[in-house]
Amino acid sequence: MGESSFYDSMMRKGAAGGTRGAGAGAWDAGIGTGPAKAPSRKRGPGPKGPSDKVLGNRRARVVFNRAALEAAELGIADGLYELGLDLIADASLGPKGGPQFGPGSLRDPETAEERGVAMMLDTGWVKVWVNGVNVSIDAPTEAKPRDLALPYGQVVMVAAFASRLAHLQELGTVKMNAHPFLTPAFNRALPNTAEYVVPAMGKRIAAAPEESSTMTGLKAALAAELARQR
Amino acid sequence: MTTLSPVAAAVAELRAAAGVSTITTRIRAVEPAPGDALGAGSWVPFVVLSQLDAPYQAPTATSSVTIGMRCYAASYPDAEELYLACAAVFHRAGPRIAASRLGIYNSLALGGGTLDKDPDTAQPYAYGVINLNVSIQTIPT
Repeated sequence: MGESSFYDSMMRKGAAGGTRGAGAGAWDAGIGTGPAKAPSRKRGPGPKGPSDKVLGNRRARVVFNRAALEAAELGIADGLYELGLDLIADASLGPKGGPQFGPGSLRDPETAEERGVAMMLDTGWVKVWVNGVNVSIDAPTEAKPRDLALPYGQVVMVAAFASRLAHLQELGTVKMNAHPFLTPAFNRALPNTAEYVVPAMGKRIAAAPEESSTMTGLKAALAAELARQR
Repeated sequence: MTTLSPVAAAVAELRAAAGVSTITTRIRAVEPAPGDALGAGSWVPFVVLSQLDAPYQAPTATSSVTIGMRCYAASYPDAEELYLACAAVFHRAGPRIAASRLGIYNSLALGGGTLDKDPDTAQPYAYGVINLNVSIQTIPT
């Protein structure tokens, strides 16, 4: 007879229990729920099974607080965007001792207008993606770099220079030594990431609705982190 | 460059690597040597390493050195092959001591392999960035 007879017998057991009604299935019956075969419960944790408390938790409804996660992600994005802007501003000062960079150099609006092309150091841009979606406040027109992956669950910030000469200045050519300006700015900015991200997260989460204990916990954790930074 | 120069150590490692030396022995620091950068039809493979940044990590007495690597060749596939051979020398190579007694705790090929051509000679090349976490003092024997 095989499976069908086993299933039928289990269904009969479930009907005898009578707690789940017509929808009761084999597993409900098999684990013995219902007044007819109530499981024996112990008062405390023991070697043979979990306590009442654990069984109670098992039945608790878990609410996924998406608002809290979105607020945290957008806060990270805000902080990284500000970090990127400062990084670009720092890099735009050019390399130390560079031949054609910095105040008083060729970088001026008049020369740019004559050439009809923006000066290289004026072409910096910043863009931030959350879960693959561009959330930059004033989204620049520059497209996503070809090789850049934007995986779900990650916040990605790109700070770059749109000029086609930028990588030649940064790395050099056969007739010109490297004049790195972006790598040093990046290395200077990187250690300060938390100073940008944590306050921005705090603002977003403070503005989010108090829906659950998760949000309260996040706010408390951020307040503690801010206090520690001060 | 001083004897503890990370770029000099990287150049020495590339010259000693079999995968690279079979393609070229022209491994340079900062700029090409005379005879490297030639016009179209005379292109020869060579590599130029230049230091982009080297901030000190004071608590650990190390320096995180970022090095730009440009690998020139006669064609784009050859340039890419040379770049991959060079990147393999550094990527997750582990702790070691250079001949100059510079301690290299770890090294990574951070990214790149981007193909381009030189604006002056039009020679194809692939460029990328490597990172060396090095000591700031000589490692005693």
